[in-house]
Amino acid sequence: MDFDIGNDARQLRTRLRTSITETFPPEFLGAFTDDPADMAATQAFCKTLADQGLLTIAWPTEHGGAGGDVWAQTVVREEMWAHHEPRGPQYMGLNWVGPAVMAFGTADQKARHLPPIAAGDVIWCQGFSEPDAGSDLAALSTRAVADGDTWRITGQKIWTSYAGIAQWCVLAARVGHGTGHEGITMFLVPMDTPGIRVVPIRTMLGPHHLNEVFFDDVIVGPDAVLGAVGGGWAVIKEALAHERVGIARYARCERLLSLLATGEDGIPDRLRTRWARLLVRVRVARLLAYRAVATQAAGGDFDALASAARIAVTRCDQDVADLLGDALGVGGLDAGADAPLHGAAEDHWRYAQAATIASGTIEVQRMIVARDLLGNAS
Amino acid sequence: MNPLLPEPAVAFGESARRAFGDLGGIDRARRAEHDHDHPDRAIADALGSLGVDDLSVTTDTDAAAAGAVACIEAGRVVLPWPVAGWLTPSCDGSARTRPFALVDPTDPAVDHGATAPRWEISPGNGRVTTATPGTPLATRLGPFVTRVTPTGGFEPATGALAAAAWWSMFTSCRILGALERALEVTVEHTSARHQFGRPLTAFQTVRFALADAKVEVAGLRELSLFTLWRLGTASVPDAHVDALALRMHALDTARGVLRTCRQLHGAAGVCDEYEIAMLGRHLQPTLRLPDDADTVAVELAGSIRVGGFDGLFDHAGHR
Repeated sequence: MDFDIGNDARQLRTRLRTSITETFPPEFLGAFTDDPADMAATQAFCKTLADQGLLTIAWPTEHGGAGGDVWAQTVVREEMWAHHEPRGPQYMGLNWVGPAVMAFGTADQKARHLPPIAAGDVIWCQGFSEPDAGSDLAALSTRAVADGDTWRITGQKIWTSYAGIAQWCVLAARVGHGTGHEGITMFLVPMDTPGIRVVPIRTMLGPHHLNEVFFDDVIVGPDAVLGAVGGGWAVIKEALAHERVGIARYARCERLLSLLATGEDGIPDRLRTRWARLLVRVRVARLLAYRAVATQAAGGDFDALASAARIAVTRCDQDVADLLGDALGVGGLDAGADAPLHGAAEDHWRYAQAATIASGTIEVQRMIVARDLLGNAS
Repeated sequence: MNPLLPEPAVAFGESARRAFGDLGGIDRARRAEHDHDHPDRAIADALGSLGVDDLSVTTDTDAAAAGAVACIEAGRVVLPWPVAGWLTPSCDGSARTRPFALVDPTDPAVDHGATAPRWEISPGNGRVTTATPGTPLATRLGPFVTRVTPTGGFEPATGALAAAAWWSMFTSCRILGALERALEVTVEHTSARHQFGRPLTAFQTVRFALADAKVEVAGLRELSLFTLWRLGTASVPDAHVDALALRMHALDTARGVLRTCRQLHGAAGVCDEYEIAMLGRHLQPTLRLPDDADTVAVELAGSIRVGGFDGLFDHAGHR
């Protein structure tokens, strides 16, 4: 039994932190602010990481990556999220679109899509959720109809992050008139294809995060299909496998709790035990995530472990957000470089509210944990 | 990074479960309530046969893990014996001759006090003394709790802080074992019990409550194993902070999980015939002695202020 993450991972953590702190000012809060310069900075940072060989550290060597093990990948997830995801929207291409293309793509698709992702040149979005297909994703109704050699796609997606700035979309649509998983097919669609209309949704998360995307007789070629026609659910499962352990929200929680303690005013005495309790709960959430990662690496069934970790992690996210707000008073409502924690408390609270919804609601995670716990008894 | 318990400890746990089962499992605790004045030699003999007395927890990581597992297994049957107190390393490095316990110096008391004629007690501040146990409370919540009388003042001892950390970890493992068993029997009960024509587990509110409890208990297990590892690898002050964190979290977790499990048993949850009632009742002394979660949280917050709480994560590396 050994909880030491190892020298390689430790050194990688140091490299990443150094790279981030040399590139971004302390007040950087991610790409999705009202200042377009922040988005531009993240795009440039992806190029820097690519040049340093750090962008695709988790990718297999045969696809130009560094073949980093699960702990290297974990460190990347942690440091990026702890520092407000300085890769901006590109994490999606790196985390799962690239790996899904590796697993299901044709040679042409790999040649076309993997190099730009690895170079930090492209933003992808994920066309999964629909107005009537959220947690129940298999209820999706966007249709793809064969039309000679091409496909004609019609339907609506919603909650699509980065759709307004993405160059490409991984789109889930249904071929035929089946239900459930039947007929679901994945398409790689250029976002500048005629017939695509993006409508931003104004949210507390800031610009670019959530959009509606309308597909009105969008025509794509046969080379747009990723995997088999009707085999889209396998691609979705592969995609979700990379998302299952989820964002390393605990890393930002720990960083913010730490910054609060070392900040100008420290922690008010009345909140000191609540702060200590949260530090411990965040440690627990991290350990649960590590258990899921270790089990995944060993080839074990880790679905329920990942869900347990996500329940713990997302709750911490919201409780830390509340604590920061309570500690900072009006300062916790303030944004900008001059605000306490450079506005990170205000930013974190807004983001944390979606933590128990995004990439699988906490209710779905509970269903998975309960199913695993009850086994045959269920 | 390898969060798995070492194989020898897993095997030791299986042996302990069999041995405690042979003693009657939780019935041993039920029976002991009616005979709480006398040390139960059969338990002492069983622990001796298992080799618990020979575990050198400070020098052998497998032995430390085996000790933790023994406490988990003891917790599953709320074994009426101070296993954690006997496993805690002595303050001077010699073999332990009397069980250890942390106490509130203003009203010192220990669980299972009558099992030994003399105890080593500490307020957790690096000082210890010996003490003699009085008569058990013999109440439903404290059947084996005895107030103890110190034989002298608390004196500084080199290994006292480490002993406090080990004792906190081992007692937290006892809590973990009890909670894991509480969840198991609750899953069994809610699966078997039908209302409105369906098993209770068909109701989403029940499933969600079980899922939440499972996450809490799984988290406590991870923190227990991590703290066990830290006790073998970190400095004493750092490990002491980690042990405080574990104890606080164990107390917080126990309160919520036991309440959920008892509630899901319905009226059966308060009946001694059901394991959940026994687990919840007999665990109370471990959850209250020497102090409550809020008191531990105050101490923890102060300790973190002095020594930090890095553990898995380098806080100092952040600007």
